[in-house]
Amino acid sequence: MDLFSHILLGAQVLFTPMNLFFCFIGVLMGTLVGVLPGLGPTAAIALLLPNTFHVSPVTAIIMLAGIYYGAMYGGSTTSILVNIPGEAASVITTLDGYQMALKGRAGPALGIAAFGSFIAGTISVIGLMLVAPPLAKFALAFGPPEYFSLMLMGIVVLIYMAFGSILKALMMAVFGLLLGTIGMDAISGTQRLTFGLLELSDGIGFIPAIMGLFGVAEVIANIEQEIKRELITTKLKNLLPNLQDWKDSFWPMIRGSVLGFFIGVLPGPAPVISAFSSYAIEKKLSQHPEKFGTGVIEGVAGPESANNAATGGAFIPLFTLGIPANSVIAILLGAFMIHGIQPGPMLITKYPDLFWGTIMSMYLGNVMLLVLNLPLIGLWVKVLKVPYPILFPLILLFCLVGVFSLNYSQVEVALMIGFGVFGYLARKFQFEMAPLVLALVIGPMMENNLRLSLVISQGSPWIFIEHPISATFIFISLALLISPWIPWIGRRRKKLQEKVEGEQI
Amino acid sequence: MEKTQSHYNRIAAIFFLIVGIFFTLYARSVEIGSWNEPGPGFLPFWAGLTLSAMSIALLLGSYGKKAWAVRPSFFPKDDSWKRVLLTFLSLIAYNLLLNPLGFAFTTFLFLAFLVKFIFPQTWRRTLLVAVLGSVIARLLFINFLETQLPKGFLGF
Amino acid sequence: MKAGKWMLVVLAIFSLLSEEASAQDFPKGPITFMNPFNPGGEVDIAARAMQPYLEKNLGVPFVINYLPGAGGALCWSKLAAAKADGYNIGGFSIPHIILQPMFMKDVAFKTDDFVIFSIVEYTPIGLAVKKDFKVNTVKEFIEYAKANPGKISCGGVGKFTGHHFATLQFMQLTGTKVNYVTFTGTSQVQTALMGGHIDAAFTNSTMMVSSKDQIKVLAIGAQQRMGQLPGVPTFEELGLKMYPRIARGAMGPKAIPADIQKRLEKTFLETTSKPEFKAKMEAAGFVPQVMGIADSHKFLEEEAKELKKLIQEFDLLSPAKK
Repeated sequence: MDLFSHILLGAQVLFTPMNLFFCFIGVLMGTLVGVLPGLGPTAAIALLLPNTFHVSPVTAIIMLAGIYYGAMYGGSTTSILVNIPGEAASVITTLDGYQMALKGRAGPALGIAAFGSFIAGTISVIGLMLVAPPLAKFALAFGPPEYFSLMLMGIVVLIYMAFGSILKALMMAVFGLLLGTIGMDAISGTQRLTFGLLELSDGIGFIPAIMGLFGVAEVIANIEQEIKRELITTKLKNLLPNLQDWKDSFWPMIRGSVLGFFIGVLPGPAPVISAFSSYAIEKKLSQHPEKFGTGVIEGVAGPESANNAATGGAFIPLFTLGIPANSVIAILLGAFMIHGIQPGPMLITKYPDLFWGTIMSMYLGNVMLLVLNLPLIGLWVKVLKVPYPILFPLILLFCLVGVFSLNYSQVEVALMIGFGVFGYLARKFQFEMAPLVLALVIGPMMENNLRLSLVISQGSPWIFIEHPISATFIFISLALLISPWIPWIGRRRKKLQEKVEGEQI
Repeated sequence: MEKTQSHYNRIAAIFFLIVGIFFTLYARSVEIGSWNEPGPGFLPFWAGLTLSAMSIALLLGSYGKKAWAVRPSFFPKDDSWKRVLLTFLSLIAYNLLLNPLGFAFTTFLFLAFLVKFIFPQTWRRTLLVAVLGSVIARLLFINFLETQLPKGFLGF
Repeated sequence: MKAGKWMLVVLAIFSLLSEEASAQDFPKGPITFMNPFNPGGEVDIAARAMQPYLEKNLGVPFVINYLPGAGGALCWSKLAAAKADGYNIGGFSIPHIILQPMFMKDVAFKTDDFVIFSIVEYTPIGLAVKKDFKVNTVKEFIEYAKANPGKISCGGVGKFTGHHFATLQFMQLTGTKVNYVTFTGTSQVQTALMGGHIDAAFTNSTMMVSSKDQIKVLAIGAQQRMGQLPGVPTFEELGLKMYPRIARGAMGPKAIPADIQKRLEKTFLETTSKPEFKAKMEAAGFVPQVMGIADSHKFLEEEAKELKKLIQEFDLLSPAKK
């Protein structure tokens, strides 16, 4: 079959010792970088790229794929172990992943995250092979109104999943939106609330925010407690997921992968949206939704698969439209340019070996990730055994340096500390942070698309309903917001809310 | 008097109300624009109004007569506040001292301070952690990853 | 763990190898290039095409960062204030850096805050419409616009940029009014046009070359027809004397020491004069240039003079017309 020969072609390109070695290096560097916040994949790539002059561009691309996946996985590692998301997409993983770690189940959590990513990678490669061109058409159907509605729905979904009061979660989300307006306005260039500080011109970075809200605040909340409290109270059990875990996680991983792949096709913050959409879906479909947030493995399996699949799906706009979805893929674009290849609709047919070679290399990156990280799980988990009085200064250091090394800006470190204070207080007052963070990340894009849509429609807000895709999203959002007031759904929510506000989170 | 959730909600509501009003008023000083040409103030204005409205809703709700959960005291242990405050201060100090004292030295001081004074460890342990920590951090960030961290007046 | 230790050793050696022994003082570390627009746009494509040559020439990584917003103004404000050590440089677009300081409030840079190392290419701007739009020539477009003033949505990147200016010029010359929609990067305009979310766009030749099967290109603002766009008339042929174009390259804060400036200039000149580089750029739809510091600044001055003339002649940027 034609497809099979393509795979062979790709594999041939791939399985040379040189390529395998570079892939391995890429994954290693990527994971290391993913674990250290603030040093994103771009930094790792920048450091390693000069070495690739001496080797073929295909090798370079293979290493790139390794770094990319490695970084995504590294971010999940810190989410699970110390409740600090490595990037926005990992915020969701902290919800259940960290809880699992607290119960001594960090090993299975990490393991499922790795396997989930692997399965997602497989599914997205298959997806790429089968449906790339039609999907591109699908992506084109998304214009400013659709993006706005999609993001709005994403935030509403998140709020709906909130533990406690929807009102409070909504407030945090709107607050996040408002914070997102700080900076230079992308359309008119006006400075908004930047107080003349150049560092604030491109807005409040989400890394200082995440490090502050999740990292610093968590640590401070912990040190309030008893002295010498061991972080892990129970003996660490198996390092790998057991059979029950596999059974529970199987469908979430499949669903997450498919979902993530389709959402990943849309250029933009796909991994974030797919991760929390997956979480929401798993919670809805679960037999025991109230357990989400206390450490259920489905809450890790689904989102981790989704965000990895979205990463794969993100290659599609590049191959079919010639438009990179994010800065890492733009580097791939550059690699193509080196060969005088113009990415665009004709790419797959004109340069099949490059296309398939890249696909297989992405897959290889996935495999490498699994092979590399499983043995390391034991090592990572040992980190948690360090006594907390010594561990927490290290965690704080890691936050400080991570943020500082982003832009060498003391302003951003100060912002992180500010967010730390706020996060600490928010916990006391029973407000959730996830809606704030996600609104902060997505807000500016939402605002741009909102304004663009209004300019296109010349002031008519009905444009969001006139476009069918957009209308669907808006409808779902409204339905979710109103549902607490519908009696039988409302009662279920109320029980959840009372249960949660009665205890301490 | 024991604090219940309603008290906390009230305080939070007032905080968010102030934020909401602030943004709404601020939006007027940058152009709000019109519906067919939304300006930089468009979203801040409407979002600010929404937040204010929600804060009022929360505030009113906090006076409702339901069975509010009783919240434990703000600081779980009597001396918690000292640890919290000291830690925050040390973070601020790190930020300020990083440039003049340089990365390695500031890290050393930071680690030593926290290990010794928050959950006191022996001097030996403290020094071990502080020295190892700062040396490894320096090697990792400055030598290996080539990030440009300040060298400080001590030159290392 | 023996294996682990070996890994570390290998990595250490690897990273040491990556720092080629550079005898010169500059550059000692990676150079950061700030892209004022989104990934996939013209600045990006040109920068990535140059990247391998630059890295070989300079011996250090050439890291491309993105800082889109306000049609480039965000990035340039930051670049003007960046450390003038040669490690922070960025892309630019002419006429944007001329027009924005003149007309935008809150902008924190001036045109002469920078030294331009090299102008690498320029792209003529043309008019394109979405595939199922009911016009096939510029003449039909003008008729449609006259019949439906303000209804046609016309995309472009940023305000007070080449696209914006071209739109204004067109409206002035033809007596029509279209609805200018502001995006932050060419790739966004591209997807919006291909997806039919906007009706038309004044956009760059490169975009037209890469999307020519999915959009209808009506005209191009060059002096003569472009080889990469067969069958596309120039505005001049259609009686509209407009030659809008955007020139791009690399620049840095003015205060960079002269010898470092020269070094960077040399690197860019050596890259842009390579025939295979030129060929790649042309195939993509660019008009490649080889200009050093002096030539680039002369070009900048001439474009500025020309723009000012047009603005005065046609009263283009008065509040009423915006």
